Amino acid sequence: MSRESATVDIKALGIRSGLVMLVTGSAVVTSWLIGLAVSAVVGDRMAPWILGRAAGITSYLLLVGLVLFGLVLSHPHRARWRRPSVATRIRTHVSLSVFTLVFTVLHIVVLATDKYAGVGWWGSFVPMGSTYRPLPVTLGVIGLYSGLLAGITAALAGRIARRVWWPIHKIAIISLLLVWLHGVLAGIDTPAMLSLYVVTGVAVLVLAVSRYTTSSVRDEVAELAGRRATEITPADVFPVPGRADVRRRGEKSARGRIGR
Amino acid sequence: MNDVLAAHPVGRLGGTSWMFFSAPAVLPRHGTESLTGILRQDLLAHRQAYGPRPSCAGIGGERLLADLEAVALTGRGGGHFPTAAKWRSLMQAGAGGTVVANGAEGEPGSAKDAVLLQTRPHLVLDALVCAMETVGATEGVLWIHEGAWATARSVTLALSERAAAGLEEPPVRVILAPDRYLSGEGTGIIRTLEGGPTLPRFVTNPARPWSDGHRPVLVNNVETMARIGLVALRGGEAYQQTSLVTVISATHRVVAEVGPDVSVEQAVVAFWTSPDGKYPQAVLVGGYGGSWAAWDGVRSVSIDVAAMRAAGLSLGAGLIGPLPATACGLEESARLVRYLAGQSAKQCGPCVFGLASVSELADDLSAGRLSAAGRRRLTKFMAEISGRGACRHPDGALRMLTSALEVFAPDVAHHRRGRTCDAPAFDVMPLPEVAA
Repeated sequence: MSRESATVDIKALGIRSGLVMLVTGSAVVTSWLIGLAVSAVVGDRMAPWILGRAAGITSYLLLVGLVLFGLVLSHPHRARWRRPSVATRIRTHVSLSVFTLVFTVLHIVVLATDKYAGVGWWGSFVPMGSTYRPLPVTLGVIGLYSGLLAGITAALAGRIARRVWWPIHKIAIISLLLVWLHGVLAGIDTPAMLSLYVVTGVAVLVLAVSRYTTSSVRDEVAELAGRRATEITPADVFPVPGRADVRRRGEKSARGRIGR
Repeated sequence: MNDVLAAHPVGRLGGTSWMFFSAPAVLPRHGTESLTGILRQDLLAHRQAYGPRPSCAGIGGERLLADLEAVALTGRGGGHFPTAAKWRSLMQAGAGGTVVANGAEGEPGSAKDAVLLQTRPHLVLDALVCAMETVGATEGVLWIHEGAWATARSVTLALSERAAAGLEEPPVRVILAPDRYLSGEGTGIIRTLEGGPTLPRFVTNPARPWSDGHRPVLVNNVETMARIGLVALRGGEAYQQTSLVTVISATHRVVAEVGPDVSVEQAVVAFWTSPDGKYPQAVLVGGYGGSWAAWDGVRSVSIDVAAMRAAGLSLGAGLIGPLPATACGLEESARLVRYLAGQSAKQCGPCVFGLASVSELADDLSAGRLSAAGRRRLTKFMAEISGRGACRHPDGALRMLTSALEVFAPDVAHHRRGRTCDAPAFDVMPLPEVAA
């Protein structure tokens, strides 16, 4: 075995054991946090409500991350960034979508089964079906459906044409907007929550503006294609002074159309 | 004996007689406006030298095709594809097509086509008309760059001269293409004539590069056309296998015609001005998408299509770019790759992203900050991009860089951990100002 491949092996071993430790560590921390949360609310009549709220906020934060990664994935400058790698970006985007869905399901199940919440299964899935704050809940319901649509189309990517799924996938923007309003209208009971919505909203807005105002490769091709070849006649090259039809170099009228 | 001693007297190089020029033409480093050394042949002088143009319709065309096959004429735009075979595939498509004389030499260093059009326009136009008659085309196009005004003046004047002389010839249009590297690319020319943008496109069948339902189009480089003109006017027996080359110096460029027995060394001694009185360390052959060759390996190679191919090089568009002993080949190559990456038509991923990444890594290499991982990435990218564009643009850039990594291998070893080879920073190959 050459020295170089031995180094590589040791490096790979290090990375692998690091990963194992990371996963174990995060499992321990997660269990501890869940235990902490359960012990804090156990026996509390408000427990389902608190759990539902917590799941909602988690789901919202995951959705923000999901959309931010989506904007990174489609940013015109994506090819200039080396880290994280393209594979990692896509994996993270997909993983975030799965976790967003999981916590949204938790959010819905907890609040739909909570008799005191006034939402119920009907209110969870039918617009204006909730007795508790019908409008904000409805925004969340529509946000859920549009989010699902964005997720399902993306899951079909590769099996159906990009020109079919890609425009539908952009409904994710509407989903985030609705969920943001859902949160702002129904999910603010402390000033800290307000700043959370403001900060995350601004972050998405900044990245979205950068993504949609930066000129893309397609714009550059359009610019290149826009510079057309032109036909010239002797009058363009040897202008005759005093003649009305003298055409000067670069003048539009002199430029013959090419092709049929 | 590393010094260029007495320059050979400029004049006859090699044992062949001249086809076009008895003396070299001198041009500035940039542009093709102020040409000196060769006078323009107007229609009268042209006819006095070559006689009337024979008809190339019917039997005349068959004779011309047979002559082109006999002299084994290949395309001088850089591709070196057999001209007669190209014509025959157009003839199979039927009459009513377009013939294009392509004089938009995209190579910023090359000026041979401009020199031909400015000094021997009627040779090109005779060939264009002959090509139209032979393949049954009804339209001719002279395709040149927007910025090439001296060339545009010469060809429009030549067309006026022919009209004034009452020549009955099919119409020839002069079309100016945007000033960029890829404007002379064949598929882009055809796309333009079909009403599209001047950008290369994928062609599934190279023998039929035009779209269905559109006129068949034949594109021949201007030097190829001028050679066809000579064959048509004088017959195949008088044809000489010469080459037109552009030799790049720090202050000017020389366009000269050389015989097949002239070596690179002879041409460099005759037409190149060494900044330090020494021979160059290497020569860029063919074009900016050509290959670097170490001086000791290339000096004795003849400037001839076949001899170059035997030496693993391509005469390409006829560019001879000697690199002075004091210059840094890696810096120069990184500069050229950056230019070529910037000249991409931005249509294919391997070219847009791949070539841009390769250019960045080449810059890192020339600045001495390329890590071992960067070296591996460079090799990987170069292997991944090769052969994957719609046109050959990325391939040319990679060919040049690959040859640079071989020819300047000692420099590559030296350019590490912030070290460079301390060459004085000056640009050897001319690039247009607008290049990004």
